[in-house]
Amino acid sequence: MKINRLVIWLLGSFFLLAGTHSQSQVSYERLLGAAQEPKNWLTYSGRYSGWRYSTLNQINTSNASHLTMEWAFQVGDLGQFETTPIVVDGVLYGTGQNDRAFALDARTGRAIWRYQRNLPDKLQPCCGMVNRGFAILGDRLFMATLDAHLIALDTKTGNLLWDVSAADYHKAYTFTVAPLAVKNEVIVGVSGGEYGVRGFVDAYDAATGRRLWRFETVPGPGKPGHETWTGDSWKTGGAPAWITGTYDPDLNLIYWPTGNPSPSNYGGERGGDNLYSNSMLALDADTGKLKWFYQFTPHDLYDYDATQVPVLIDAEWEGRARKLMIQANRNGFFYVLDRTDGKFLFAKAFGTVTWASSIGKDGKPIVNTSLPAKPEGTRVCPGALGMTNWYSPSYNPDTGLLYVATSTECDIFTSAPQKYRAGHDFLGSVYVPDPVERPTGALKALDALTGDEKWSFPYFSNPNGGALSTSGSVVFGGDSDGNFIALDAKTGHDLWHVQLGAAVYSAAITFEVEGKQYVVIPCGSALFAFALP
Amino acid sequence: MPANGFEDSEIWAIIAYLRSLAPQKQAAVAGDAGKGKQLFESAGCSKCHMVNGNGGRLGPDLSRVGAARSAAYMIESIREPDKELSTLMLDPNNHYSVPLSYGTVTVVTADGERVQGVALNEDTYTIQMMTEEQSLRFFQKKEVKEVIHEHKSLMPAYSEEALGPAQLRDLVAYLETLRGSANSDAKEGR
Repeated sequence: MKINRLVIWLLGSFFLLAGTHSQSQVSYERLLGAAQEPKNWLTYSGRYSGWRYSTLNQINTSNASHLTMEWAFQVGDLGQFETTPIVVDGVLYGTGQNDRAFALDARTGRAIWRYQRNLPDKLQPCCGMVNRGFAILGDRLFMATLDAHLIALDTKTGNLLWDVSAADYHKAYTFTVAPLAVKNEVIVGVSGGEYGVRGFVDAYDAATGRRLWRFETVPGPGKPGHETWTGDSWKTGGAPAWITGTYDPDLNLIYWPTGNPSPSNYGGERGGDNLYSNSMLALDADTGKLKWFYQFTPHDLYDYDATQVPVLIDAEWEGRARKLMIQANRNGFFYVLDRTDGKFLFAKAFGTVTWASSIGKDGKPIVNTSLPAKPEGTRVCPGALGMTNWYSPSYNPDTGLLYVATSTECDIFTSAPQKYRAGHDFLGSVYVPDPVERPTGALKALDALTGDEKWSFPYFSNPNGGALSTSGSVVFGGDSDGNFIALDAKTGHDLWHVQLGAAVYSAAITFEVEGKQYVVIPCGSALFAFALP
Repeated sequence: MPANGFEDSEIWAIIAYLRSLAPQKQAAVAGDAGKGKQLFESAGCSKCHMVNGNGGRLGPDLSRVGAARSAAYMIESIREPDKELSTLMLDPNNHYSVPLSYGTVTVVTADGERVQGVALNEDTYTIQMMTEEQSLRFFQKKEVKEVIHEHKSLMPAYSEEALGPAQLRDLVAYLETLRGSANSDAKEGR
């Protein structure tokens, strides 16, 4: 009798689970195992390791040339569309310009709800009214807003569940980042490096919105690193944290990159290395305590934010298995670090670099001392937008390659002291592109351990869009001239492209619904979904 | 460009400064605008430049050049057209790329034809041109042999031998009269 009841209970539970699968919650365990459910896209980079890679292979090198548009969804707003959607069991959740948000039937693109943040009139985001996407945990979506709040929305309705203020938007603190959900926490980093904010990375309780910890990226008096700022410069030191980090559950470390010191292009009144600007931070996921850091560009004068997604790979290095982190940095060097302790292992330029000749064995750049920005202007490579930028790279374990969108832009920098005023831009300079050499770009495939360039696909203009790769051996990229492009991941051979009519400012994602693989790219004011006919 | 939190008074100060850079309403160059107009047509300028709906299409439309450019800039553009190339269409969807300019582009077709002109638009796959003959030609790059870009203007440099100082003054005096109409539409680019 007991057995029969157990069987009935088990069967009932099974059917209950099966019946609700299309609306199931996204537990932390599901986020940990995101790689095992490629039908969905559960985090900003698809998985905690930051790969932006999928094992879906219905679309592959043999058929990518047949891709056709399945649907388009118009956000209804203008400006750069930088989101990375989340897809869970047939529902796509995205954010848009001016902190719009929406949920769609992922098979048809039809909206099931829309959300619009009621933003204050006077906001100061440096680079557009952008948002890079949601994080999801349980039945909640988390969105970091331009007025420096973190909000939670109900997945089924878009209803606001809680709303907390993280910082004062009047002083140009803003959020543009897609949050990262880890355990019961929602982690965000602030924007505002062009306005002299004091950067931070925060964690909030997903259930209540209560702040659990804050790591200030410019250390205050008495804290290690404070000595790397002269005078009161630390108070307006910048070091924002505006791109989504990655996470190693075994080490329980969150890896979060930081941006430029403020003012970005005048260093005369912020003597020192300016920690932790332009750095990789390894933070204890439970406490936010700093386990290690590595600074890519000390005392930066050229706006070389390190805000590129840190990619976590395990590989043999000098004869032994090692937990590594790789990053193609905005400053023009490709880096390999040991992610257990932050030890510098290797760096190599992946294009023309003039600000430094190389990275020394101690991990410090050998800076070209003839180049500091002068009032009359100095040509420096890469330019202020970097050899690459925030747009995501993709790591493909099948090829062992890191796919990175790159720019050839060099800029003429001028520099001058500037008085800080809260809420006003704080750059200490202007910079203009080299007027003679129009910058171009490329989607490059770099060996993930040596940084060697395996192939390069030319972009006519400097890019703003990142990359996605799949086990179908396809790399998807988007250029600034409106092309969404599929390349052979091994060779860079051009498989397919479509003209979408506006610069691409994000990277693609892929998912599967009812046996069909979709690839989705934001472009202009719309999301476009492609699949095989 | 980052958004600014300027006070209204500061914004007006910046506007005043920018306006101080604009060309003066009175001709900075003492020349005969009537003679300059004749010269504009006889020296070949109008073959490539349109003024108020008349003229060529290869170079920038000059209907508002007197309001937009200083005399010094115009003189430099006539004597040394390669020095600073004018900008072509600005793409409102692309915030960070550098727009195309009036450089020289030569497409070598599969059968060896050399088509020279200005690229009105271009990307990795295609190019849209205004040829020297002022016709529109569009190419798929995979179908042509070569696309050659040169940072030089198709406009000839008018040296003192070709255009004496007095003629230059007359021509610039005429160009300074070109200020469009109050309701001139703004074309993308300049």
